[in-house]
Amino acid sequence: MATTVTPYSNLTALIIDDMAVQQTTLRGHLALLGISKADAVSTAEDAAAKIRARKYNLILCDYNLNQKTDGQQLFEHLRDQQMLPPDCLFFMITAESTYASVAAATEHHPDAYLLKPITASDIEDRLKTLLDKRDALLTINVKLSKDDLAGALEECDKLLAAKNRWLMSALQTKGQVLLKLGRHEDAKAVYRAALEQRTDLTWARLGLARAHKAAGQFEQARTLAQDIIDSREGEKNVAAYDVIAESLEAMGDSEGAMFVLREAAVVVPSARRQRLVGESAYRNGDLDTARDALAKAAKASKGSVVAQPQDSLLLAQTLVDIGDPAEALKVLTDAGTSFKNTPAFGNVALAIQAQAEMASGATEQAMKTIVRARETMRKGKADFATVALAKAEIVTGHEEAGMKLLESAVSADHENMRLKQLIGKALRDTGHEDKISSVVESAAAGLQSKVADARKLLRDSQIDDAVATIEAAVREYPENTGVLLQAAQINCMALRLKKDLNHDMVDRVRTYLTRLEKLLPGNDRVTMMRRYFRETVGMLEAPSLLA
Amino acid sequence: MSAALALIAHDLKNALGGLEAELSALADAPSVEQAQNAHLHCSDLRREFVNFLTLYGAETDGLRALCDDESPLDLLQALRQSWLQRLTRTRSPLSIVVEGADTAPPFWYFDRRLVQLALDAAIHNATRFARSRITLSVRVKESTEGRRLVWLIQDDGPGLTEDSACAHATGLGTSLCEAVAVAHTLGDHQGRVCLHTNPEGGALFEMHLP
Repeated sequence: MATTVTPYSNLTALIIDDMAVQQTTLRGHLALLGISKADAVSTAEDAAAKIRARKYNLILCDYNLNQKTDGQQLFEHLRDQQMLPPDCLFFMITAESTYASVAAATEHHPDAYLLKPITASDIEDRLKTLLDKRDALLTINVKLSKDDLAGALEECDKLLAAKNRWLMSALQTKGQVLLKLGRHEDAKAVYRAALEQRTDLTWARLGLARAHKAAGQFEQARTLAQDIIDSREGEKNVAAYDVIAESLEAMGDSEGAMFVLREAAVVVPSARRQRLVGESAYRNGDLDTARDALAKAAKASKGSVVAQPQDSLLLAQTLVDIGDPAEALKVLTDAGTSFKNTPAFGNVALAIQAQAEMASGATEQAMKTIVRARETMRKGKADFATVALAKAEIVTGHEEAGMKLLESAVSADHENMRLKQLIGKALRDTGHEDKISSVVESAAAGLQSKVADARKLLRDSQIDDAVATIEAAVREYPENTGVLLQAAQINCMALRLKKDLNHDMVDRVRTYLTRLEKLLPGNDRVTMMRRYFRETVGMLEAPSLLA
Repeated sequence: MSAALALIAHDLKNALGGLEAELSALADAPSVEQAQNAHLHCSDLRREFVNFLTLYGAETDGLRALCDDESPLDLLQALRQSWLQRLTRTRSPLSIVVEGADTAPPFWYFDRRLVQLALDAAIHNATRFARSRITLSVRVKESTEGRRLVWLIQDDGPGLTEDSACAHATGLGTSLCEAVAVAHTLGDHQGRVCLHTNPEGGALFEMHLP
């Protein structure tokens, strides 16, 4: 089909549909819009491979792929794995009959839903609006991509002043930027302004709840999120459930958080939701719930591109803990085929296998397996893999090695409450409940004393020594979030005290903050530290203000 | 299925019969013009089926509006564009214009797909009665029920024979418009439609959304 030059001619598109006829029709529609650079695939696996290899501006994906993965699962997988470039538009094509249920019970929405049978003008309508929106928000997004939050805020205000078609989008983005900046009260004001425009805006109500949570007002956050769930528009809003779960966890009620996650998984029974329930239930020792949820997660994504090795690993560990080692070994064998090329699977699987073999009386085999499991693990990290190996060491009689691993896990991130729950459980399961406080506290105490030393040196005006001490702690525990936060703060304080914009120090803090954001995404303490750092640099860049 | 829906299904069946006859004639004596007409009727019929299914869904599960901030004027322009093409293809003498671009709000929250279906059906109805012109407009109205978005579709036909305000017509189009309006709620308020004779002549269709 001849293709004319249109505003869309430069776009590259990917069609994901298992029906060859539909692929041809969609290709024809795109050609009518001037889009000639279009690839077509029929499975989620091929789609993922194409998206990895080429940058697309537009993806048209059929919801019902008649495969192991539906369009929504594929979309969420691409989004979670950050495989979609920010300027890529994702259109989901659904049948009339399934649209309402798909759109209502969905955690993340694609850019648009198109209902079958679709026409070229349906695609053009949505494309035009979304490209207009992208242009309108371009200056904001450019600043955001450079991490220039203050600049992005200015651009939001400019767009708001124009009072045009994109006013609400600008308000929504401004709220998010303010939350990132740690300006909770200002964020609340923005969300309230949006709600004055329209009282039923779920994104604004959710933003308000999140701003309260970020400000440490957990009870209010919980109430606001519950109001969303109780409303007609928000009854299936799993993000609101998450705000409640996170608030409960922050208030120390991790079991309550688990129940809330369980409710959310009923509302949106996706593999991702079951995974969250399973993980929380396991930490809280509710093994039956963990087994059921993880089995559902593993089953829902089995053999699919969206499958996660962690589902099968944690399911196997849960089965060992329940006392069903035979089933655990079966799960590991099954999963082994799917994940044979996944490095994150093999060594953890061996650690759990060793535990299962021990539990089924195959001691000799277990001894061989633990040796293989050990080979791949050098230093303990603050993760499930380390705890699984520690448990395997303890049950195979290598108690000292196991305890050391657990201590190293605590040292790697001594403020991580979830990790401490996992370690506590591992010690209880292996009959070492009495050692929980000594393992967790002694490892944490060692670190805390290093941090305390650094802070004392700072108080005594021994600034360089304070920085050197905390830097040594970072070198030893590069992924300990508590140490990284302290290191960022002590470096900032040193910058302020010396009134000198030392670029090495500034770069260092920047590195720590980047690392923290990776380790603790969306964490309020990290946000506050970033704000403190920004203020520090701002003060030093404007020395006249200090005078 | 309600009696009204069964009646609509019956109409659809008859329209399908008409299309069948057209295709049969076309098979006997192929002509580009007839093929284009058949294609047009086929796409009209498809639209009617979508409307029917939407209405059926509204009766069985309740229609749910998934609202987003949208430009009302953009939607009117898109509708005008698609109707212009259809009118040209059928060599209709009707003109279709969008008025009051300066009074339209820059955005409003509504379900674009549903509102498009409803307005499309209302325009379709207007094309049956208009003499020469159909006017589309949209504006905001302050009322005791708060601010409302009012869509207006006006034709220069004979107007309603029974000159009662908000007279309820029968048929798929009006039922669909009503279902779409009612699906739009804000707090205790919900949308509504009415059809009346315009004092300046012709019929005036209004759809109010909260």
